Amino acid sequence: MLRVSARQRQFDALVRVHAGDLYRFAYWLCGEDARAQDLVQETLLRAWRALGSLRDDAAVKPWLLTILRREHARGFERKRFDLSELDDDIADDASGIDPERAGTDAQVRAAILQLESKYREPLLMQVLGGFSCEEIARELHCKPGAVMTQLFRARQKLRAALDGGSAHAKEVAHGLP
Amino acid sequence: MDCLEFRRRLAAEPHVRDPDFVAHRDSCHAGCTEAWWRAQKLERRLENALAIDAPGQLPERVLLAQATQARVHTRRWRLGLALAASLVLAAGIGIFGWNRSAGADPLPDISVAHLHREAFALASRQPVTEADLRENFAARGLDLHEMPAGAVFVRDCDLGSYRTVHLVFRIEDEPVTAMYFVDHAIAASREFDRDGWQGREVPMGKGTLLLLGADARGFAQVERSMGDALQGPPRQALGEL
Repeated sequence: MLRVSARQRQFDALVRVHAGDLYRFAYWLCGEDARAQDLVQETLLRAWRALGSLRDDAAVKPWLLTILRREHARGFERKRFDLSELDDDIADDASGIDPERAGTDAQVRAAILQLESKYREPLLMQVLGGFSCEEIARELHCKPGAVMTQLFRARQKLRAALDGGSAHAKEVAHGLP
Repeated sequence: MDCLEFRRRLAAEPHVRDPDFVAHRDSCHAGCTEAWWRAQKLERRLENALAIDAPGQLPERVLLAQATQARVHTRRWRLGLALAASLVLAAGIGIFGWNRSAGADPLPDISVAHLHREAFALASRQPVTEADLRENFAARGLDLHEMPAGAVFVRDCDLGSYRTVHLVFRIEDEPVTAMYFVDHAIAASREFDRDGWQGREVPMGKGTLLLLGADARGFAQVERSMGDALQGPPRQALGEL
């Protein structure tokens, strides 16, 4: 009878619980299915080798996402965030567009993939990873205020893209050029 | 908290539950409550759009890669110990013997290396079609007499200078890898063990069939199946007619 070690059982459970979330994070980070699967595999293999260093089971997801981000970063030259303060005149989010009518999932997905990585990455960390601004700031080695700026602008750009997509869809529906 | 601070915070952290933030949301008459609702709707749209399905076989792929890696690691560790002991006892003889055996027959080493490179093939479970089988063997100039039963993966692969057809069979739910070296025939069958994999080499037709598995249980069945496919089923003896 094959004996399975406690470490192996822990790893099996970790893979089955987190592979899906890691894939989603990886996919939206790199925008490619095959690359995302490779990233997940490499992340979990690294996690296997470092499993002994994991002390807090509750911290496993942020730990895995951090490994994944670093794996992704190894493949791409990282650029420093272009940090600046928010303008006082806050962009008006009351453009009249109802986000529930602002386009299909496909439009939202296209808009997400069009975001520059400096906006997309903290947004994914927040929405998919459940990181707080402070945690994102620690991960990205910048100040929480700078992260808030990136998150603010990420959503601003999404709104603008969806607004544009909706307007375009309306034009098409009316047969306009 | 004023409206400016509220809107900034809302766009950066729509799910925040800070008491000042919530108090402003519930008391502001300048549109902040409506802005909060719009922000929540956008978050729902965002979460729905991000929630794509992950490939169903991804956990199996990862676990297989890990099992393969762990097997190689363990094997290398044991091999290291064995080699160290050999060095103490008879380094010269041991190294000479290893070199000699490695130099005499490279097929097991390159096959195991290829198996590790294409470890994903071991996770295959769907039977390959007759068309795929014929196409991959035809790419090596081979006609099949019949379809090898139980094949779940097939691909014509170059292993260095060797032209092969790489197959995986599922025998009692365990993967058995078969590499058919099209134009390299060995002199005689032999069993071997490499990096924790059991192996068998068999001269077959003008080439060599090499089998790899966790153990040798499925080898006879795959060998028979491949023999029938490449050479046709054995003829019945006259006395049985």
